[in-house]
Amino acid sequence: MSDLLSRISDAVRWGRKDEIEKLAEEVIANNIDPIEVIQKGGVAGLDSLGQAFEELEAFLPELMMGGETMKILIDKLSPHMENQKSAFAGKVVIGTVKGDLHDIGKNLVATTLSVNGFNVVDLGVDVSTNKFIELATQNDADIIAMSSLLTTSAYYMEELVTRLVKEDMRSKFKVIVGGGPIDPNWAKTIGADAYARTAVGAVKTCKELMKIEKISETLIGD
Amino acid sequence: MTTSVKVLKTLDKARTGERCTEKQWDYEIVPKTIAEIVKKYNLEKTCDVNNPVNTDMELADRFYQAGFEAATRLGLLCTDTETIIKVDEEELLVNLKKVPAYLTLGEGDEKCTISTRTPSDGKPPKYGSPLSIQMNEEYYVPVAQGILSSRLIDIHEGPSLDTVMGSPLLAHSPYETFAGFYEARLRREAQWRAGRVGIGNMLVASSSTEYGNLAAFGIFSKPQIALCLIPSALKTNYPTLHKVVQTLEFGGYVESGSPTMIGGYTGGPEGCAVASIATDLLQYPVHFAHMSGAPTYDLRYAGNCGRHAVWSQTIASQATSRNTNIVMLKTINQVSGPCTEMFFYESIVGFVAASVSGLEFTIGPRSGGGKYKNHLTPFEAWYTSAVFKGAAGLSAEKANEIVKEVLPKFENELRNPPKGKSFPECFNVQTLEPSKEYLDLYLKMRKYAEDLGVPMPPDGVVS
Repeated sequence: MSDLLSRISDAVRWGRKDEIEKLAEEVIANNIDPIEVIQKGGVAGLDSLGQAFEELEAFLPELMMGGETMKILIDKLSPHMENQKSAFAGKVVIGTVKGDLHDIGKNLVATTLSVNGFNVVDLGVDVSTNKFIELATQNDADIIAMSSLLTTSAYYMEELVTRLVKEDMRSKFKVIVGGGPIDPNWAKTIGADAYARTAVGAVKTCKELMKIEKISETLIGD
Repeated sequence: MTTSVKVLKTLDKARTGERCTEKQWDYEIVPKTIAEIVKKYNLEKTCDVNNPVNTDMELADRFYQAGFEAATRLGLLCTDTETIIKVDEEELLVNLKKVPAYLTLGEGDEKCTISTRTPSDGKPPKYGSPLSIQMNEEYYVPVAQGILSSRLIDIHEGPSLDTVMGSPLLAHSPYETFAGFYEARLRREAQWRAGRVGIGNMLVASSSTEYGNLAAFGIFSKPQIALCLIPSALKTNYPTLHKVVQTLEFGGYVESGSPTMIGGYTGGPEGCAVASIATDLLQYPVHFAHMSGAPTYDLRYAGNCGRHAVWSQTIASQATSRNTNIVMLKTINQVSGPCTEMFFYESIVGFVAASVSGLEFTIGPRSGGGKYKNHLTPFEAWYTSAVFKGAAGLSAEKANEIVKEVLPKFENELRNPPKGKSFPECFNVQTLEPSKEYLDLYLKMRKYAEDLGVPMPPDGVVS
């Protein structure tokens, strides 16, 4: 089994999507505990990837590949986790708010959330308030995450929270904000649930917002 | 043929170019191409964190060749059309011969020429200030007046606003168009109060879109520099191209570009340097830019005063300044705030390295990473401009020695930097008198820079 876990770890570290599918099938065929595989195989791979990012041996594209590989592993094993908590930590709809075309910080947060077990729906940049609410509803999201590098776009974060309150939807979604000019005061002022300064901070905060058992303690990307 | 007509060629290329999704571009084409080129030119692991200011000019030239190849193999992705705007080798060479080697703006005593430099050039670079840090409306004029009261500041950019006469300044709305006019009028007021009516301007800080850009040309009739910032390195979009058309048609100067990120799509410090050079090379052929701006930031702390970012930005600047006449703007992004020692340490590292590497122009300061409202005062602008100009003529070896001395004083704090103090905490907003605490710190840190071997020109106000 340790050899299988090691191969799963390597597949996640190097973003080998085809290989992880076969390895997941091997796990199912051998009736191995999926949670143990995710934590000791997948998460170990993420640990290694996180270390590589810190040391400038891996970059944003590799993080994304690792995240997608981990997602495949979780998707394949989830149906076999009867009576156990879902492997996903929660569903997050994320985007850069209207008027702002910056994407790299948002992409880093989306990727880091994904590699840490969240099911992430990335709406891209210049996302209108309507689109955030529509897609969060459609996807039955737990969290709406908004990013802005521009102070002039940050107002749309406030608009979204106000809309949720007005339309009696505030309790359906947790709202987290971040980005260059955003700080905890702004989050408090507009009535958001949380603020995160870094990608790692976003993962920690989203896990707190979900009030669920952590799928792992691994946090990468800071 | 006027220059704005030439932009049609870029628009046609954007309409008819090879299709490519943004995701393919970011996650496949750019990383793969840059990695291949880094390998081909034997640039892997050349980043020397123990010597953050590169002293090997042969290596810098090798980076230039790599950047040139990256420019011709990649081009810029237009994110609106999802097409690649290609520039072939011959076209790039022809354009590099035509690229403007200088630009002149300002009137009378304020006339200022920003011209091409080379590494260790004794000609001091030019400095624009401040760098769009958000201020309350009531502080806009006083802080800009204070900053401009030093003649070390050559070009005015102005802080930025997030309200207009109390109303929220919403992006992509008519508030932005209004803000363009409003901010331009506030700037004129600040320039008049500082006795610098004719100073050249960079347009406009409070509006990132084409609306505000267009509005400001109504107030400033003489040639000014328009900020046509692309969304990220090796990309362009329609808002940028709108601004380019407007600016050239109004007789302004185009500044375009965007940071490359260490840890992002282009990889580590070596890949980022290659991408930064390529981005600089492509700004004239695609945007007809008079000035290109492709600094390097480190994604891990969103600044560029740490070892990897200093090395990467240094070698990219050396490469481009030794091999072209491109006038470059690269920002130094401090992450610590006003009235902290760390701000001054970061500034010495960033500006000494930039000045000796052939950089022509910068805008600053970026106190607190530009994150905190009202965290901007005249002292940061005066200090950074003095270091930038004072370091002109130093050798790369001397700069490296200075940088190595100062870096250990703050590098462990880059991820958790001090926020510092706000403008009203540091200065009397009416009289523009500094607090004793900040004045003492400022003068102490000027002396510190001088003791390190940076000849600090006087600010003309308190030193």
